[in-house]
Amino acid sequence: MSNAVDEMLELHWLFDMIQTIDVGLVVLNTDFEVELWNGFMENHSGITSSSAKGKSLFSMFEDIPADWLKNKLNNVRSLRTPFYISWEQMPHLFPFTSYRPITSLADKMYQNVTLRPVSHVDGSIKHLCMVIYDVSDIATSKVSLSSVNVKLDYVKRNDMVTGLKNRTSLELAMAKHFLAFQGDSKINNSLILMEIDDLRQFHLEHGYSVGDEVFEKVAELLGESVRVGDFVSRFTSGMFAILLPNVTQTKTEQYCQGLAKRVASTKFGTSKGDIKLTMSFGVAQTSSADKTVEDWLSRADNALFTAQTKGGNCAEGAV
Amino acid sequence: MSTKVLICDDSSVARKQLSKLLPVDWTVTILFAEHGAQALDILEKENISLMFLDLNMPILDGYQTLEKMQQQQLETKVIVVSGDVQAQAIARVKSLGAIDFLKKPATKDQIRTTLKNHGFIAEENTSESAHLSLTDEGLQFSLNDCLQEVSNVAMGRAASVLADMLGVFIKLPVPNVNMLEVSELQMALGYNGESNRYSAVSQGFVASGIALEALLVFSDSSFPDMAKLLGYQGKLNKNSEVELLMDVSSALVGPFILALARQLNIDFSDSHPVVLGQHVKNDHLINAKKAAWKKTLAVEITYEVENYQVSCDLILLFTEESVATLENLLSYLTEDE
Repeated sequence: MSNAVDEMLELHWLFDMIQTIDVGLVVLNTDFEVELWNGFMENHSGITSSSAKGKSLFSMFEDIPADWLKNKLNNVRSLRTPFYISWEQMPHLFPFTSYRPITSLADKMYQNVTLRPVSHVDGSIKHLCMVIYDVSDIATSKVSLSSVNVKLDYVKRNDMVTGLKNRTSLELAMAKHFLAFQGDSKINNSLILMEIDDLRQFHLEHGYSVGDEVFEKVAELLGESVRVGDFVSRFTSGMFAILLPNVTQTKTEQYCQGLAKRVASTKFGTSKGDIKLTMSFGVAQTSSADKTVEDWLSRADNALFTAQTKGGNCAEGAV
Repeated sequence: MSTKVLICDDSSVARKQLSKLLPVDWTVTILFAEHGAQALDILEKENISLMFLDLNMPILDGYQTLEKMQQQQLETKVIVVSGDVQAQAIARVKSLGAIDFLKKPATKDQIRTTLKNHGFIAEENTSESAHLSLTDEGLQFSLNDCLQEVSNVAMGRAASVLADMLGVFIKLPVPNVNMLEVSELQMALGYNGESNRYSAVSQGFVASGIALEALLVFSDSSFPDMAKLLGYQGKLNKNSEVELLMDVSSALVGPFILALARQLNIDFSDSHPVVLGQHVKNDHLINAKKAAWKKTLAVEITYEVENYQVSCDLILLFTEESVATLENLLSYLTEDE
């Protein structure tokens, strides 16, 4: 007699644990009707165990992709092996809200779900168990880590003032084009180096922060003036570079003359009023005489210097 | 002259196991071969009545051996004893002339019944007369030998589950067992080609005294065909690839570990599988916590799906601390009664 009471008591506390454990437990029969629905499921779904029992899981949650989940549950049953659903493939299988609605980054609960076969006393599989884990903290930290990585990546490649690609990115792109040219010398790649004329005087006159505002506007103008696929970057303070694939040197020089006119006629609006300026341009096309990428770059730099010594506001082609 | 029986298996553990399981009242001389080529040599020289043949072996596997036997019109009857329990594997060996198929590890009763069915032994005969072995198999078995054999059986079970799910035939290799320094791990895994990128899922398993990680590593070129096999429609992206990784890992790793656990007579607790990396170079897959574990017992199995460009490596990594327990649990394989 006391044995039976003990067993009853044991069953009672076992069931109490299933009810209160902070993991979702659902047992389904082979028609996907709920047989067990623990406290975690009750509290997060707002559906009581008594009203869930006997109902099809898919009638209660119409947003769960039924065919997709049935396919997995059927695999669990026929292969008699657990299947796992990661939050990375299906973040919110059940539409539960996050445990910490105020301080958590996640609004909805991210879930890992394990589907397990439950064997009947006769060895057959008549029930399937779903175990639902709340992994919101893991998921949000992974998501925010990867968004930080995306930001870091952007900082590594871009100039923070103008948003243009930075010099490191330019050098990488040049190296790629240089290699392509070495493989096939019919590919014409032109590099334009350009700088604001009398940069030192420009900074003395306007100050560095207004200077930055101007550079931002120059970057905009350059961005508008190129084709898709052309590479615009900020080289150093007032110096910019454009990499034009598949263009001859003559065409590039003509393009620079046009650009010089456009810059000279533009009023660059800043917080201290409109500012006018001119720029000089040096053009160098990939040449078989260049042994390294630096050779190519320094020919463009020399051409730019020639343009500047001629008084600026003009374009020069490298020899 | 007594009947001659040949046991052909690359695993010394399996050879010994099987020879112990033959009915003691069956007066036979037992010969052994380590692979198909050796078996064919023996078949030519000796008058062998029956051969027990494994399927997954180096040099010449079971299928090739059966083919050669047909070509050479050898009369020896063959019973295949294999861990590869895919329905197609069984059908293939039968069509190649094998008279029966026993799944590894076979029991005494199964062997007796099979031998009876094919008329090799008569009804129960209790007169004791031990059989003689020509090759002395009283050699030492290492942990590697034992682990290779249980992995072989588990590999076959897992392949059979995946084969059933996908309706394909899975090509099975000989499992590779090695004790490795962690620094050697990547090299030993044999991933070459700088440009190859991999995706991997890891799942942890723990039982009393044993801890292991099961890694499933896919080469990126496997994804298109894997999507086809799993009936996945739509364009592949990172999320749908996680779906494929999870499904294949569930179907392959779970049954493998279950079959392993049954043979070791233990139960494992399992963790939820975790995506280790997607489209990364192999040295980025396994690099964390390098310092924490010095040595690992690694079992590597390459599964390939016939007629599809899908191949994946299942790698079991046991911690160094697990080795003693494993040795203990596996000792039954080689113990004499």
